[in-house]
Amino acid sequence: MFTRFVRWLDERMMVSPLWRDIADHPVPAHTNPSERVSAFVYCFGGVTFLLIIAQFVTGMFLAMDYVPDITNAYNSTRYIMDHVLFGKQLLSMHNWGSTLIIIMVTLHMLRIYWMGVYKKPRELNWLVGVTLLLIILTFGFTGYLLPWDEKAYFATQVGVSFVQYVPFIGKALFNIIAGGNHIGAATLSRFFAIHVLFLPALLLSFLGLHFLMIRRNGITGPY
Amino acid sequence: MYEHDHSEHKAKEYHEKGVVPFWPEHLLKEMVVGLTAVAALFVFSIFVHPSLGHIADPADWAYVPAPDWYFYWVQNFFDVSGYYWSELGLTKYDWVLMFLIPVLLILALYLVPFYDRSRERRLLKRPVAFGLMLFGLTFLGYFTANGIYNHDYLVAQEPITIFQQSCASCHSIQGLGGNAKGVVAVSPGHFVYPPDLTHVGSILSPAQIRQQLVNPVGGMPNLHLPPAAVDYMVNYLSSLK
Amino acid sequence: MAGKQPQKAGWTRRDFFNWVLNVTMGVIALLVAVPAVGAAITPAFARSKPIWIRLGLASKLQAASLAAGTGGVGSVVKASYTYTALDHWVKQPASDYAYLRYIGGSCPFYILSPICTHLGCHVDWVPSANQFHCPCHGSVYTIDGLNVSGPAPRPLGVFRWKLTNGEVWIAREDTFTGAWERQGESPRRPCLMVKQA
Repeated sequence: MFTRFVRWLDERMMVSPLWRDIADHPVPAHTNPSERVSAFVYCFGGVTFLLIIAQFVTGMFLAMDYVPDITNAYNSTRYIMDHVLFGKQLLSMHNWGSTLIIIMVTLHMLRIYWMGVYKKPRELNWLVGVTLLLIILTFGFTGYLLPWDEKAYFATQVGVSFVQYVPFIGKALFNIIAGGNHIGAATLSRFFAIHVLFLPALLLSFLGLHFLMIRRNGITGPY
Repeated sequence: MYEHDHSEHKAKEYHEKGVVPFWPEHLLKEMVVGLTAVAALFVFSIFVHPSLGHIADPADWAYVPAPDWYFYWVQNFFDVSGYYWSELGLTKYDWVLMFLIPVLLILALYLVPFYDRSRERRLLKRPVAFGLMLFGLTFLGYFTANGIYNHDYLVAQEPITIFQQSCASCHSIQGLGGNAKGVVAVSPGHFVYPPDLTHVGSILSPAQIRQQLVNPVGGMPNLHLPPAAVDYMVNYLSSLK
Repeated sequence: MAGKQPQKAGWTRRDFFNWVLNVTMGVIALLVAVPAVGAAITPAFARSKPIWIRLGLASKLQAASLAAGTGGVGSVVKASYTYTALDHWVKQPASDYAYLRYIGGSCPFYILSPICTHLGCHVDWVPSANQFHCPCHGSVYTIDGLNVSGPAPRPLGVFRWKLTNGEVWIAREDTFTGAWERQGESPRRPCLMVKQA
């Protein structure tokens, strides 16, 4: 029954070649922890992706109860923590998830660096990877402001102040990022939009490039 | 999946080549590691919750800014280098330190594959790359640790500064501060002296200290301390035992 | 189709359609991008008026400053104020303070913003040192607000102020320090008293 349904679907969507391509593509056994336990180092990138998906899910559901406005952001965060069933767990997982992603990304990068993976022909994918690192750090920075507590506010004030040192356009850049001359209502709504709309789009695009190039270049063999 | 013969054939071919198909062999192993990570995240999140402080108040002058842990090194690097930069009288060229150097650092990270061009992949046979990595890790580690230390120091220092500025004109701690200025005449011939706060932590509970700071009684003026200052003062004063 | 025909010099039909397609897509992108990017970068060009805030009776402020100083010379006092802050679409009651000093003469008050020009912390007035110290990164300013050490790039902001019915009003600007900002050290103590019309 299920097989027939899949066949019916595939007659119309014709995705099975795509699926076979993904499912059957050969992966060197030396990257598989069941062959050698030490091969778990090859998993950091994949775990990062898994955690990113988890962040998407927890983030989307947090956005159901969160209001990006300076009079309500703090209260809605409080509400999520105190009154939403599993809200505290959701917020907690989103918060520590970002920490875990930073750790995993660092380990992934160290593995890439350690094994010299970035060498020809994978230079381009290293450039994409560093961009992904910057995107993820921006995720962390913009997300830190959203609860709108003192920690969030003052860290953002310190962080955004750094762009004032950009020659010639520093002040304009500060105003564009903060949405005005100081960290306030416009900053919060801007950071929210960046955190939940701009960055996910950017992240997904660059992840697509990252994975495409991994498929094209393959995984580095043992030395 | 449903082309069974095909799969059997592939499996043999893959085995001879020393590779495994992505689905399900490889992904299963990856997901086991993934499950470990997500389970750890789930369990950790049950027991440790992120803290939500007071609502943001731009006028809260007492709050000592703290970045997320992975940005401590950024803040501390610029604090430390900024200090020496201005000691060298280079304040005019701040943009070099605050803009050019970060841009060059990011560029250096981007361009790693273009200056480490040898075919050698073993790290120990790439001394320059290995050195740069060790330097980078030491750099991050040092400034993160220093940043956390510095933040804790500033948090510990803040209530002492507040005490000197707002309290010491009436109260004393271990003989420092306090004078007759704070004496309040409650009725003719009766005076209330501002108490010595050297052992206040063993006399009043933290909640009582907070109450006295926010809604003072007994002649003490309301200092209108911002919430962060009250928090720091309560911690500090209740530690005086 | 085009490949089978002999190559012609100049534009082929295909080149032309290529060009038209590129221009069409470019115009579409532009039509969407202009309002989007425009809205995003507007804050860089926004100018806002200062709000005038009552600081208190001039006589009281003068007395407080003189009491803080010695020998008839005024010293720095903290002058707290409350106001209604308008942050884009949010109106909120707010409070802050200014460092006020009575200096006499034709421009009797010298009012400094407490915002450190480094990263925006509130600086502390340290009477024993006759200086402002920033608790965050150790910037030090003179009594006139000139930065003398630490990471602070500029002197403290100075409030424009006016005298109305014996009361001191200050102009809170929409700048980093909330006040008028000096780029250099001169003049050491600018007079920013606004004469009544």
